[in-house]
Amino acid sequence: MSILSVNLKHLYQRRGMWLIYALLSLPVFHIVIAPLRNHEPGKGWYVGPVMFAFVIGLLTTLPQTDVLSKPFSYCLPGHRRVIRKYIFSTALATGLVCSMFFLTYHNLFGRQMPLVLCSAFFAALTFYLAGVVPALIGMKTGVALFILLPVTVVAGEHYELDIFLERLIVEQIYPTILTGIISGIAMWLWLSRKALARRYCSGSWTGFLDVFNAEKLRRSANAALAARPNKHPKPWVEKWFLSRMNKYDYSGPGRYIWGTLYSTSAPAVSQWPNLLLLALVVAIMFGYAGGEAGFVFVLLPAMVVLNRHLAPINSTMLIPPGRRRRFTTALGLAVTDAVMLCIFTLIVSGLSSLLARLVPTFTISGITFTLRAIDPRLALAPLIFLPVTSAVQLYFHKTSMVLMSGVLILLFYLVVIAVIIRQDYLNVLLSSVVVSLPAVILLTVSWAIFLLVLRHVCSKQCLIK
Amino acid sequence: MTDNNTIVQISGLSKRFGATQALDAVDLEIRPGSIIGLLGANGAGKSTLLRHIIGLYLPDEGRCTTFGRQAKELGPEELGRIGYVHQEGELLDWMKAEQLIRYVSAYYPDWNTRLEREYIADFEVSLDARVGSLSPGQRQKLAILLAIGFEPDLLILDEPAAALDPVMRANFLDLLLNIIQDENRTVIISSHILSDVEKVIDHVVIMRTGRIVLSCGFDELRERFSKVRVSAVSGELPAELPFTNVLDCRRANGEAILTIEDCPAERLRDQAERLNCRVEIETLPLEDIYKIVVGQKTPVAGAAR
Repeated sequence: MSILSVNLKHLYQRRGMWLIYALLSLPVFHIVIAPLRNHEPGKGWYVGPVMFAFVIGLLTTLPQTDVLSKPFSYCLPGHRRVIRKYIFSTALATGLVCSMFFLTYHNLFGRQMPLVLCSAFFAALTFYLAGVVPALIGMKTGVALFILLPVTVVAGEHYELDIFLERLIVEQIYPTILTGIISGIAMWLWLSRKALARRYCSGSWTGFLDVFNAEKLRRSANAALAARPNKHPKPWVEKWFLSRMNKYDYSGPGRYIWGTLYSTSAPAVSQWPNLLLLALVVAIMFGYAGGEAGFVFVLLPAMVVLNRHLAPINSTMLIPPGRRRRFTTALGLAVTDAVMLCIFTLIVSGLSSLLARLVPTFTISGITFTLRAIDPRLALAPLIFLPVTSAVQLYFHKTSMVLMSGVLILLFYLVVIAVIIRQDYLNVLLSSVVVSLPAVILLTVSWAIFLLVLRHVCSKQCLIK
Repeated sequence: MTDNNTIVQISGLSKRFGATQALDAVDLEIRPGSIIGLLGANGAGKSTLLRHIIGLYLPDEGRCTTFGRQAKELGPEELGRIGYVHQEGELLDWMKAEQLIRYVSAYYPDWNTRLEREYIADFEVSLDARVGSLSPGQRQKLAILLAIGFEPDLLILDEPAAALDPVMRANFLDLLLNIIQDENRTVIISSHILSDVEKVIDHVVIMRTGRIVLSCGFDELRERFSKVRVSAVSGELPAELPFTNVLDCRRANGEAILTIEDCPAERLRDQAERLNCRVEIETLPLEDIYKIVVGQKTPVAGAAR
């Protein structure tokens, strides 16, 4: 089997890629179906697949940064150049598929058809190669996807970039082909540099796919921390937590609870201004999204819990709590997390109420965006859902990454449903659950489940991953 | 029943992980003041056994008692007497080394600051470095400091020196020898670097596929196995060397080198004299003994050829 074939296998062998495929299936369906159902020229339907080549370029190149960072990519014969082969093979295939949509384009006669197909092919190639660049230079994939894509969509809608691009492909055939050829040559030369493999070899690279590789995430986070030796935690944070610990007996639960809070929360506490900034961003984002934002506060506990890595239950850190003390400490940590998330939600709600009176309403492409206050009752959501999420993670800790993937996919589709369909049924569903069952009952049940699972784990299971 | 003079008492301990029998009816008794070398191949069950002792794992069958309490019921009082260095070396990576030391020491009333300072100086621990940025060797040094800083009664070292360079390993062994000056302190050391282990241990436990195949005093073990160099006083070495309990025999340059089990030196000399041969008897290094025990070499029947 050739080196290229092995590299291409990443596209279906890596679990992370399947997560991405699941996430992108809905937008891809929308992009593909548009030119097949709407044949009217000059409306921009046909360029969706061409523009989407950017995302394909970005995502298919990401696994290659992993391959390049392995020493064998640098040392073994043929490995240094395979990245170029890989990128151009996938780019040609993508360009070919994306250009095929123009076969159904109306009013193309004689030699016009092959020329337009060729133009569409090079346009897709250009977009694909543009996607390769952020993946290879190490731009955060998440940032690239979640900032560039909405910006492109909104700007594209507003300035009718899709219509402009369609006219370029059909009417400015030779400049489009020339742009594609120049992009291809530039990328070929860039990928031929001797320094390319050396730049990546044994480097620490993380991307969206690495959510499945806890060890690599840890190493990368450490490398990032090591590069910023003066960052967190702030000295006052350490002093504050240690003073809280020292108020309690050496064998008492208070010392362990404060110690665990210190070991799990000090970096976040050190960055408290950033948390306020985050609250402001969340208030603006989900304020504009309207009442559909409620589900975020249901999923927020899952994000926090997954980030805790089962502390303090499965920690082998050299501190002396027994199983009983681990139980009380884990309970203390969960209560604190739930209360802190509750406060965070109230702050977001307060900020959104304030901003609702100050910020203007605006319209893009006929859609009116109005910032609405977020219901403060949503602060109950973390108190109810954090213990349930914690219980799930404790019991299914070996499959926590699967859980995380599920949460991510759920989050994505809820956003899609909320933003695209723009109906209030999520909120209706949430509020009906909360209203129909008294909050006290929900709280009691969720915390009871958590306590039972925690007790079972602490008394009957092995306390190590 | 737990003997008052026993730190760890394990009886009939079995543990299974899925299809793997990690521990199989293990019996072990550890008395204070002993330094135990826990040896075995990867997957032999050493780490699993150690984790049972501190209550991280629970047995499927059998009992494990540490400091007189069932390991699953160990609390801060008992665990505060146990130092544990393990091979994964989990530490709080976002802290600086000095912050981590301050954090861990906050859990122990008897943290020895003088020992901490001496160790930092001797082992060149970089206090200002972020734990996550430390090399494996530096991490290991820090983990050892955190395990010994409160002068535990029982020190459990699971592959403690694997990441240390030869000089630091020698320093570490010196440190261990200092630690065990206190005759009530007990150390269990699991390591693959047998040449290091044999310098400090007084008891050997060898495990294979979840079972303890040998548990005895180190001196007793060394007396049991010997390497014997046999050469003729005059003329050729006889074709047959009728020594008993020979595990291995190699001939080269007119002499034979035998590995022999359970044969007193006097008897060997008598037998050699009858053959008109001379013998030089040496003790076997632990690595060779380990290979014999784990490889299950059986004595050669009849004479060695």
